[in-house]
Amino acid sequence: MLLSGSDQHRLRIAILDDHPVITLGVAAYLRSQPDFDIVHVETTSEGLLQGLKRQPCDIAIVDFYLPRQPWDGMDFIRCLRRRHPDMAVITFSAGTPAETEYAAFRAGATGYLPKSASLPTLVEVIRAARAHRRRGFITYADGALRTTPPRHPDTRLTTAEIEVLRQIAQGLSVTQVAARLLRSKKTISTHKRRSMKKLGLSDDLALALYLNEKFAHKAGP
Amino acid sequence: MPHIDTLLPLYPDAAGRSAMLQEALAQVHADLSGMGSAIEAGDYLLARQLTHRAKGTACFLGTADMLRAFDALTDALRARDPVRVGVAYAPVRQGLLELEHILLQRLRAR
Repeated sequence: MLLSGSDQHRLRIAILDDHPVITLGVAAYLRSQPDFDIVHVETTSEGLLQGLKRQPCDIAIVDFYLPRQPWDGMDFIRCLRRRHPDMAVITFSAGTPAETEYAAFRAGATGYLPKSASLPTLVEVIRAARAHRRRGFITYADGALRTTPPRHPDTRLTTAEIEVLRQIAQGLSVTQVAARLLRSKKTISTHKRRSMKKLGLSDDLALALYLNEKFAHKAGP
Repeated sequence: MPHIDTLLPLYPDAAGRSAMLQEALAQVHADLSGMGSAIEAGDYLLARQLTHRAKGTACFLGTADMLRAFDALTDALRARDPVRVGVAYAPVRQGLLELEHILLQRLRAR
C-alpha cells in the first residue's frame, strides 16, 4: 500500500508489455531511479497476475493491447483494479489513441502514456500517479502532464459499447469479440445492435464507415 | 535522438549493452519479417496486430517520426486494400530497416 508522499517508502513497480525489449528497456531505465524497486517484469497478463499475487506493487505499467493473450484492454485493467485496488495502473500504449485513453480511464486506470513519449516522461507520470492517485487521470499531451479526464469519444454510447466497437474496429467478428471479452455472443450482439440503433446506423456497411471515421488513427492495431 | 541512446548508458557493462542491442535487433527483425509475411499472405488481421507491435518497438527504440507511416499502414490494412497496403508498407519497411541499421551501428561501436 502507498504511504504518504513524505515518507521513505520505495515505490514497488510492475511492468507488463508483450515486447520483451520494451519490458527490458523500461525496467533498466526505472531501475536507475533511486526510489523505485522493479518487482515484476512480465510479457504476459497471466504472468503479471501471478506475480502480483505473490508480491503486490504500488504501480503497474501495463500495455493496453496484448492481441494474442487472453487478457488485455479494459477487462485486464478492471481485473487489476478489482484484485489490487490500492495499486495505480498506468497504461502504456503505441500512439495516442483517444478512444484507448478514454477506455483506460473508464476501466479505472490512473494514467495513460504513449510509447512514443520519452522515458523521463514515464518517470514523471509514475511520480504523478503516486501524487494524484485518487484525484485525476494523468495523461501526457503537447509536452506536458495533465490530470483532466479524457473526453468521451461519443456520449451516445456506453463504455461497454465503445469497447465492443473498438474490438470490431480491429477486425474481430462478434464470435471473436465474445471470446476475447469473455462474454456470450448474445451479449456482444446486443451491444453491437444497441450501438447501431443509438448511432442511427442501418447496416454493417454504415457501421464500417462509422468505425473507420471514429477509430481510424485512434484505436490501436 | 533515438530512444535507444537514452537506454544504452544504463548498461554499464559491455555484456549488458550487447544483450540489450541484440534483443532489440532480434525484435525489429522479427517485426519486419512477420509483417512482410502476413501482408504477402493477405492475412490483414494478423498484419494489423504485427503492425501495432512493430509500431511499439519502433516508437520505443527509435523516434516518433514513424508514427504517421504506421498509422497509414494500419488504415490501409483496415480497409483491406492491397494497393494501399503496398504503398503504405514501403515507408514502414524502410523506417524499420533504418532502425535496424542504427542498432547494428551501436552494436559495432562498443
